[in-house]
Amino acid sequence: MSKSKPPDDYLPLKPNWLHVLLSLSGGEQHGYGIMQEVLERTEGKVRLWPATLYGAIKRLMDEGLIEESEERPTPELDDARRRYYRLTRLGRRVLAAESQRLEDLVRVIQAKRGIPARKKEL
Amino acid sequence: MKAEARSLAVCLCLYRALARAFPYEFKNAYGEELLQVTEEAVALVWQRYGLLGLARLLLDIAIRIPMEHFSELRRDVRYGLRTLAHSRGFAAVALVSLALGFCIAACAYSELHGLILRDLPDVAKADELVTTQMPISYPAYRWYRDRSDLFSSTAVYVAPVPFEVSLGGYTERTWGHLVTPSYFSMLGVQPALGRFFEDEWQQRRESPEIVLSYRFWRDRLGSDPFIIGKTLRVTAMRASSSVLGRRIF
Repeated sequence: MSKSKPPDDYLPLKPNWLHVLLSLSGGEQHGYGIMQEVLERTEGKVRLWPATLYGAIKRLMDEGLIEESEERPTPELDDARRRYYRLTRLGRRVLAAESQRLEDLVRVIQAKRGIPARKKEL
Repeated sequence: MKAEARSLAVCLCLYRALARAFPYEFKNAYGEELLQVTEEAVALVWQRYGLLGLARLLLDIAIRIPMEHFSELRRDVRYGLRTLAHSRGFAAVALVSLALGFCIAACAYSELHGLILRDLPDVAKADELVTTQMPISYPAYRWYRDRSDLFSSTAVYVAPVPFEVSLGGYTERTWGHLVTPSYFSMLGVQPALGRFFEDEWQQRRESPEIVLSYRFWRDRLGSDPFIIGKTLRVTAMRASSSVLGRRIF
Protein backbone atom coordinates (compact mmCIF):
# COMPACT_ATOMS: atom_id res chain seq x y z
CA MET A 1 0.00 0.00 0.00
CA SER A 2 1.45 3.38 -0.94
CA LYS A 3 0.60 5.69 1.94
CA SER A 4 2.79 8.64 1.16
CA LYS A 5 1.79 9.28 -2.45
CA PRO A 6 0.15 12.67 -2.92
CA PRO A 7 -3.25 12.69 -4.73
CA ASP A 8 -1.82 14.34 -7.82
CA ASP A 9 0.39 11.31 -8.42
CA TYR A 10 -2.71 9.28 -9.28
CA LEU A 11 -3.89 11.68 -11.95
CA PRO A 12 -5.18 11.27 -14.53
CA LEU A 13 -7.31 8.47 -13.12
CA LYS A 14 -8.21 5.51 -15.26
CA PRO A 15 -11.85 5.74 -16.35
CA ASN A 16 -12.78 2.56 -14.47
CA TRP A 17 -11.17 3.85 -11.30
CA LEU A 18 -13.01 7.14 -11.63
CA HIS A 19 -16.36 5.40 -12.04
CA VAL A 20 -15.78 3.20 -9.00
CA LEU A 21 -14.69 6.15 -6.87
CA LEU A 22 -17.68 8.18 -8.03
CA SER A 23 -20.01 5.32 -7.12
CA LEU A 24 -18.54 5.12 -3.65
CA SER A 25 -18.61 8.88 -3.12
CA GLY A 26 -22.25 8.55 -2.10
CA GLY A 27 -21.53 5.90 0.53
CA GLU A 28 -20.45 2.32 0.82
CA GLN A 29 -21.44 -0.12 -1.88
CA HIS A 30 -20.95 -3.75 -2.77
CA GLY A 31 -19.57 -4.87 -6.14
CA TYR A 32 -22.91 -5.49 -7.83
CA GLY A 33 -24.20 -2.16 -6.51
CA ILE A 34 -21.23 -0.34 -8.01
CA MET A 35 -21.81 -2.05 -11.34
CA GLN A 36 -25.51 -1.08 -11.38
CA GLU A 37 -24.86 2.44 -10.21
CA VAL A 38 -22.33 3.06 -12.99
CA LEU A 39 -24.73 1.64 -15.56
CA GLU A 40 -27.59 3.85 -14.37
CA ARG A 41 -25.49 6.98 -13.89
CA THR A 42 -24.09 6.73 -17.41
CA GLU A 43 -27.49 5.75 -18.85
CA GLY A 44 -26.10 2.43 -20.04
CA LYS A 45 -23.10 3.93 -21.82
CA VAL A 46 -20.56 2.48 -19.41
CA ARG A 47 -20.79 -1.06 -18.13
CA LEU A 48 -18.16 -2.33 -15.75
CA TRP A 49 -18.01 -6.05 -16.48
CA PRO A 50 -17.46 -8.17 -13.36
CA ALA A 51 -13.83 -9.16 -13.90
CA THR A 52 -12.90 -5.60 -14.91
CA LEU A 53 -14.75 -4.24 -11.89
CA TYR A 54 -12.96 -6.52 -9.45
CA GLY A 55 -9.64 -5.85 -11.15
CA ALA A 56 -10.24 -2.14 -10.52
CA ILE A 57 -11.42 -2.77 -6.94
CA LYS A 58 -8.28 -4.78 -6.23
CA ARG A 59 -6.01 -2.03 -7.57
CA LEU A 60 -7.89 0.67 -5.67
CA MET A 61 -7.62 -1.38 -2.46
CA ASP A 62 -3.91 -1.93 -3.07
CA GLU A 63 -3.40 1.80 -3.59
CA GLY A 64 -5.38 2.63 -0.47
CA LEU A 65 -8.04 4.64 -2.29
CA ILE A 66 -10.88 2.43 -1.10
CA GLU A 67 -11.27 0.03 1.81
CA GLU A 68 -13.64 -2.62 3.00
CA SER A 69 -16.39 -1.24 5.15
CA GLU A 70 -17.36 -2.93 8.38
CA GLU A 71 -20.75 -1.21 8.44
CA ARG A 72 -23.46 -3.37 6.99
CA PRO A 73 -27.13 -2.82 6.22
CA THR A 74 -29.86 -4.19 8.45
CA PRO A 75 -29.88 -8.02 8.58
CA GLU A 76 -33.04 -8.33 6.49
CA LEU A 77 -31.40 -6.36 3.65
CA ASP A 78 -27.93 -7.81 4.10
CA ASP A 79 -26.31 -10.64 2.17
CA ALA A 80 -23.52 -12.14 4.28
CA ARG A 81 -21.52 -13.12 1.20
CA ARG A 82 -21.23 -9.52 0.03
CA ARG A 83 -18.43 -7.18 0.92
CA TYR A 84 -18.98 -3.46 1.08
CA TYR A 85 -16.43 -0.89 0.02
CA ARG A 86 -16.00 2.78 0.84
CA LEU A 87 -13.67 5.61 -0.02
CA THR A 88 -10.67 6.28 2.19
CA ARG A 89 -9.57 9.80 2.98
CA LEU A 90 -6.91 9.51 0.27
CA GLY A 91 -9.56 8.21 -2.13
CA ARG A 92 -11.72 11.30 -1.49
CA ARG A 93 -8.77 13.60 -2.06
CA VAL A 94 -7.85 11.82 -5.27
CA LEU A 95 -11.45 11.99 -6.49
CA ALA A 96 -11.59 15.70 -5.66
CA ALA A 97 -8.28 16.32 -7.45
CA GLU A 98 -9.44 14.40 -10.51
CA SER A 99 -12.76 16.27 -10.57
CA GLN A 100 -10.88 19.55 -10.40
CA ARG A 101 -8.56 18.45 -13.19
CA LEU A 102 -11.49 17.49 -15.40
CA GLU A 103 -13.32 20.74 -14.63
CA ASP A 104 -10.23 22.73 -15.58
CA LEU A 105 -9.94 20.71 -18.75
CA VAL A 106 -13.55 21.36 -19.68
CA ARG A 107 -13.07 25.07 -19.02
CA VAL A 108 -10.06 25.13 -21.31
CA ILE A 109 -11.97 23.32 -24.05
CA GLN A 110 -14.94 25.65 -23.72
CA ALA A 111 -12.71 28.71 -23.82
CA LYS A 112 -10.97 27.43 -26.93
CA ARG A 113 -14.17 26.67 -28.77
CA GLY A 114 -16.09 29.64 -27.45
CA ILE A 115 -18.73 27.33 -25.94
CA PRO A 116 -20.49 28.88 -22.97
CA ALA A 117 -20.41 26.86 -19.76
CA ARG A 118 -23.62 24.89 -19.16
CA LYS A 119 -25.63 26.12 -16.24
CA LYS A 120 -25.86 23.67 -13.44
CA GLU A 121 -29.23 22.02 -13.22
CA LEU A 122 -30.97 22.61 -9.96
CA MET B 1 -36.89 -20.12 -22.70
CA LYS B 2 -35.06 -23.43 -22.72
CA ALA B 3 -32.39 -22.02 -25.01
CA GLU B 4 -31.96 -19.04 -22.69
CA ALA B 5 -31.53 -21.25 -19.62
CA ARG B 6 -29.07 -23.46 -21.47
CA SER B 7 -27.07 -20.49 -22.72
CA LEU B 8 -26.87 -18.97 -19.26
CA ALA B 9 -25.88 -22.31 -17.72
CA VAL B 10 -23.14 -22.88 -20.30
CA CYS B 11 -21.89 -19.33 -19.89
CA LEU B 12 -21.75 -19.60 -16.11
CA CYS B 13 -20.07 -22.97 -16.33
CA LEU B 14 -17.36 -21.53 -18.62
CA TYR B 15 -17.07 -18.46 -16.45
CA ARG B 16 -16.48 -20.56 -13.31
CA ALA B 17 -13.89 -22.65 -15.15
CA LEU B 18 -12.08 -19.53 -16.32
CA ALA B 19 -12.28 -17.95 -12.85
CA ARG B 20 -10.24 -20.85 -11.51
CA ALA B 21 -7.34 -19.65 -13.65
CA PHE B 22 -6.94 -16.40 -11.69
CA PRO B 23 -3.84 -16.17 -9.50
CA TYR B 24 -4.29 -17.56 -6.01
CA GLU B 25 -4.17 -14.15 -4.32
CA PHE B 26 -6.93 -12.75 -6.53
CA LYS B 27 -9.09 -15.86 -6.19
CA ASN B 28 -8.67 -15.86 -2.46
CA ALA B 29 -9.67 -12.22 -2.09
CA TYR B 30 -12.32 -11.74 -4.78
CA GLY B 31 -13.06 -15.10 -6.39
CA GLU B 32 -16.35 -15.88 -4.64
CA GLU B 33 -17.57 -12.33 -4.86
CA LEU B 34 -16.78 -12.15 -8.55
CA LEU B 35 -18.78 -15.31 -9.22
CA GLN B 36 -21.66 -14.07 -7.13
CA VAL B 37 -21.83 -10.75 -8.97
CA THR B 38 -21.62 -12.56 -12.31
CA GLU B 39 -24.43 -14.91 -11.36
CA GLU B 40 -26.54 -11.90 -10.44
CA ALA B 41 -25.66 -9.98 -13.59
CA VAL B 42 -25.79 -12.72 -16.20
CA ALA B 43 -29.58 -12.72 -16.63
CA LEU B 44 -29.64 -8.96 -17.14
CA VAL B 45 -26.75 -9.17 -19.59
CA TRP B 46 -28.69 -11.78 -21.57
CA GLN B 47 -31.83 -9.62 -21.61
CA ARG B 48 -29.96 -6.56 -22.70
CA TYR B 49 -27.32 -7.87 -25.09
CA GLY B 50 -28.22 -11.50 -25.84
CA LEU B 51 -25.53 -13.94 -26.90
CA LEU B 52 -23.09 -11.13 -27.66
CA GLY B 53 -23.39 -9.99 -24.07
CA LEU B 54 -22.51 -13.46 -22.79
CA ALA B 55 -19.54 -13.57 -25.15
CA ARG B 56 -18.47 -10.14 -23.87
CA LEU B 57 -18.76 -11.41 -20.30
CA LEU B 58 -16.46 -14.34 -21.07
CA LEU B 59 -14.07 -12.15 -23.02
CA ASP B 60 -13.86 -9.80 -20.06
CA ILE B 61 -12.64 -12.53 -17.73
CA ALA B 62 -10.40 -14.09 -20.39
CA ILE B 63 -8.59 -10.76 -20.81
CA ARG B 64 -8.43 -10.10 -17.09
CA ILE B 65 -6.76 -13.42 -16.16
CA PRO B 66 -3.37 -12.79 -17.85
CA MET B 67 -3.45 -9.20 -16.63
CA GLU B 68 -3.84 -10.36 -13.03
CA HIS B 69 -1.05 -12.88 -13.44
CA PHE B 70 1.20 -10.18 -14.86
CA SER B 71 0.24 -7.86 -12.02
CA GLU B 72 1.09 -10.51 -9.41
CA LEU B 73 4.37 -11.21 -11.15
CA ARG B 74 5.24 -7.53 -11.13
CA ARG B 75 4.44 -7.28 -7.44
CA ASP B 76 6.56 -10.32 -6.68
CA VAL B 77 9.49 -8.92 -8.66
CA ARG B 78 9.21 -5.55 -6.94
CA TYR B 79 8.99 -7.22 -3.55
CA GLY B 80 12.01 -9.36 -4.35
CA LEU B 81 14.05 -6.37 -5.50
CA ARG B 82 13.11 -4.38 -2.40
CA THR B 83 14.11 -7.29 -0.17
CA LEU B 84 17.42 -7.64 -1.96
CA ALA B 85 18.05 -3.90 -1.73
CA HIS B 86 17.62 -4.06 2.06
CA SER B 87 20.11 -6.90 2.54
CA ARG B 88 22.93 -6.15 0.18
CA GLY B 89 25.28 -8.85 1.45
CA PHE B 90 22.69 -11.51 0.77
CA ALA B 91 21.95 -9.91 -2.61
CA ALA B 92 25.64 -10.02 -3.54
CA VAL B 93 25.94 -13.69 -2.56
CA ALA B 94 22.71 -14.49 -4.40
CA LEU B 95 23.88 -12.67 -7.53
CA VAL B 96 27.29 -14.34 -7.52
CA SER B 97 25.66 -17.75 -6.98
CA LEU B 98 23.21 -17.10 -9.79
CA ALA B 99 25.98 -15.88 -12.10
CA LEU B 100 28.04 -19.00 -11.35
CA GLY B 101 25.00 -21.19 -11.86
CA PHE B 102 24.21 -19.56 -15.22
CA CYS B 103 27.85 -19.83 -16.24
CA ILE B 104 28.08 -23.53 -15.36
CA ALA B 105 24.78 -24.28 -17.04
CA ALA B 106 25.80 -22.35 -20.17
CA CYS B 107 29.16 -24.15 -20.34
CA ALA B 108 27.54 -27.54 -19.80
CA TYR B 109 24.97 -26.85 -22.47
CA SER B 110 27.62 -25.54 -24.83
CA GLU B 111 29.66 -28.72 -24.39
CA LEU B 112 26.57 -30.86 -24.75
CA HIS B 113 25.63 -28.97 -27.89
CA GLY B 114 29.08 -29.30 -29.37
CA LEU B 115 29.49 -32.98 -28.53
CA ILE B 116 26.03 -34.47 -28.85
CA LEU B 117 23.23 -32.18 -30.00
CA ARG B 118 24.84 -30.46 -32.96
CA ASP B 119 25.45 -32.29 -36.23
CA LEU B 120 29.13 -32.50 -37.12
CA PRO B 121 29.92 -29.70 -39.57
CA ASP B 122 30.81 -30.63 -43.14
CA VAL B 123 30.06 -34.29 -42.50
CA ALA B 124 27.86 -36.04 -45.06
CA LYS B 125 24.78 -37.68 -43.52
CA ALA B 126 25.67 -36.48 -40.03
CA ASP B 127 22.30 -37.62 -38.74
CA GLU B 128 23.19 -41.24 -39.63
CA LEU B 129 26.40 -41.29 -37.60
CA VAL B 130 26.43 -43.49 -34.52
CA THR B 131 29.12 -44.21 -31.98
CA THR B 132 29.60 -46.77 -29.26
CA GLN B 133 28.92 -45.56 -25.77
CA MET B 134 32.08 -47.14 -24.36
CA PRO B 135 35.52 -47.64 -25.90
CA ILE B 136 35.79 -51.01 -27.63
CA SER B 137 38.70 -53.31 -28.47
CA TYR B 138 40.13 -53.56 -31.97
CA PRO B 139 38.76 -57.12 -32.47
CA ALA B 140 35.34 -55.85 -31.50
CA TYR B 141 35.71 -53.03 -34.02
CA ARG B 142 36.61 -55.57 -36.72
CA TRP B 143 33.43 -57.46 -35.90
CA TYR B 144 31.38 -54.29 -36.43
CA ARG B 145 33.37 -53.43 -39.55
CA ASP B 146 32.58 -56.77 -41.16
CA ARG B 147 28.86 -56.47 -40.43
CA SER B 148 27.98 -54.68 -43.64
CA ASP B 149 24.31 -55.33 -42.94
CA LEU B 150 24.60 -53.05 -39.91
CA PHE B 151 26.84 -50.24 -41.09
CA SER B 152 27.68 -48.93 -44.52
CA SER B 153 31.06 -47.78 -43.26
CA THR B 154 32.98 -47.90 -39.98
CA ALA B 155 36.06 -46.28 -38.49
CA VAL B 156 37.83 -46.27 -35.19
CA TYR B 157 39.92 -43.62 -33.52
CA VAL B 158 41.90 -42.99 -30.37
CA ALA B 159 41.76 -39.45 -29.07
CA PRO B 160 43.16 -37.27 -27.79
CA VAL B 161 46.68 -38.52 -28.33
CA PRO B 162 49.72 -36.36 -27.49
CA PHE B 163 52.26 -36.00 -30.31
CA GLU B 164 55.71 -34.47 -30.19
CA VAL B 165 56.07 -32.57 -33.45
CA SER B 166 59.46 -31.25 -34.54
CA LEU B 167 59.11 -27.87 -36.20
CA GLY B 168 62.05 -25.76 -37.30
CA GLY B 169 64.51 -27.14 -34.78
CA TYR B 170 62.28 -27.32 -31.77
CA THR B 171 59.76 -29.87 -30.59
CA GLU B 172 56.26 -29.01 -29.64
CA ARG B 173 53.55 -31.08 -28.03
CA THR B 174 50.26 -31.12 -29.86
CA TRP B 175 47.13 -33.23 -29.62
CA GLY B 176 45.70 -35.37 -32.36
CA HIS B 177 43.84 -38.53 -33.26
CA LEU B 178 45.03 -41.95 -34.31
CA VAL B 179 42.52 -43.17 -36.85
CA THR B 180 41.89 -46.06 -39.20
CA PRO B 181 42.22 -45.35 -42.95
CA SER B 182 38.47 -45.41 -43.41
CA TYR B 183 37.98 -42.52 -40.95
CA PHE B 184 37.58 -39.67 -43.42
CA SER B 185 35.77 -41.61 -46.11
CA MET B 186 33.33 -42.80 -43.49
CA LEU B 187 32.67 -39.18 -42.46
CA GLY B 188 32.33 -38.15 -46.08
CA VAL B 189 34.46 -35.01 -45.67
CA GLN B 190 36.63 -33.46 -48.34
CA PRO B 191 40.22 -32.20 -47.80
CA ALA B 192 41.31 -28.68 -48.65
CA LEU B 193 44.51 -30.00 -50.25
CA GLY B 194 45.78 -33.49 -51.15
CA ARG B 195 43.69 -36.52 -50.43
CA PHE B 196 42.68 -38.65 -47.48
CA PHE B 197 43.84 -42.17 -46.63
CA GLU B 198 43.10 -45.09 -48.86
CA ASP B 199 43.30 -48.62 -47.51
CA GLU B 200 45.82 -50.23 -49.87
CA TRP B 201 47.67 -47.02 -50.44
CA GLN B 202 48.20 -46.61 -46.70
CA GLN B 203 49.32 -50.18 -46.16
CA ARG B 204 52.14 -50.10 -48.70
CA ARG B 205 53.68 -46.86 -47.49
CA GLU B 206 56.66 -47.12 -45.26
CA SER B 207 56.13 -43.95 -43.34
CA PRO B 208 52.69 -43.25 -41.98
CA GLU B 209 50.63 -40.46 -43.44
CA ILE B 210 49.19 -37.67 -41.40
CA VAL B 211 46.34 -35.26 -41.92
CA LEU B 212 46.93 -31.77 -40.66
CA SER B 213 44.15 -29.70 -39.24
CA TYR B 214 43.53 -26.34 -40.81
CA ARG B 215 44.38 -24.60 -37.54
CA PHE B 216 47.69 -26.44 -37.14
CA TRP B 217 48.64 -25.64 -40.74
CA ARG B 218 47.81 -21.98 -40.26
CA ASP B 219 49.33 -21.45 -36.78
CA ARG B 220 52.36 -23.77 -36.81
CA LEU B 221 53.27 -24.08 -40.46
CA GLY B 222 52.62 -20.53 -41.53
CA SER B 223 49.94 -21.56 -44.05
CA ASP B 224 52.62 -23.23 -46.22
CA PRO B 225 50.95 -23.78 -49.64
CA PHE B 226 53.47 -26.53 -50.53
CA ILE B 227 52.95 -28.62 -47.42
CA ILE B 228 51.66 -31.71 -49.25
CA GLY B 229 54.34 -34.41 -49.36
CA LYS B 230 56.66 -32.72 -46.92
CA THR B 231 57.99 -34.77 -44.00
CA LEU B 232 57.32 -33.92 -40.37
CA ARG B 233 58.95 -35.66 -37.42
CA VAL B 234 56.17 -36.78 -35.12
CA THR B 235 56.86 -38.64 -31.83
CA ALA B 236 60.18 -40.14 -32.91
CA MET B 237 58.89 -41.21 -36.30
CA ARG B 238 58.78 -39.58 -39.66
CA ALA B 239 55.52 -38.97 -41.34
CA SER B 240 54.74 -37.23 -44.57
CA SER B 241 51.85 -34.84 -44.67
CA SER B 242 49.54 -36.22 -47.27
CA VAL B 243 46.58 -33.95 -46.91
CA LEU B 244 45.39 -30.87 -45.30
CA GLY B 245 42.05 -30.86 -43.49
CA ARG B 246 39.55 -28.21 -44.43
CA ARG B 247 38.66 -25.30 -42.31
CA ILE B 248 35.32 -26.36 -40.99
CA PHE B 249 34.50 -23.79 -38.33
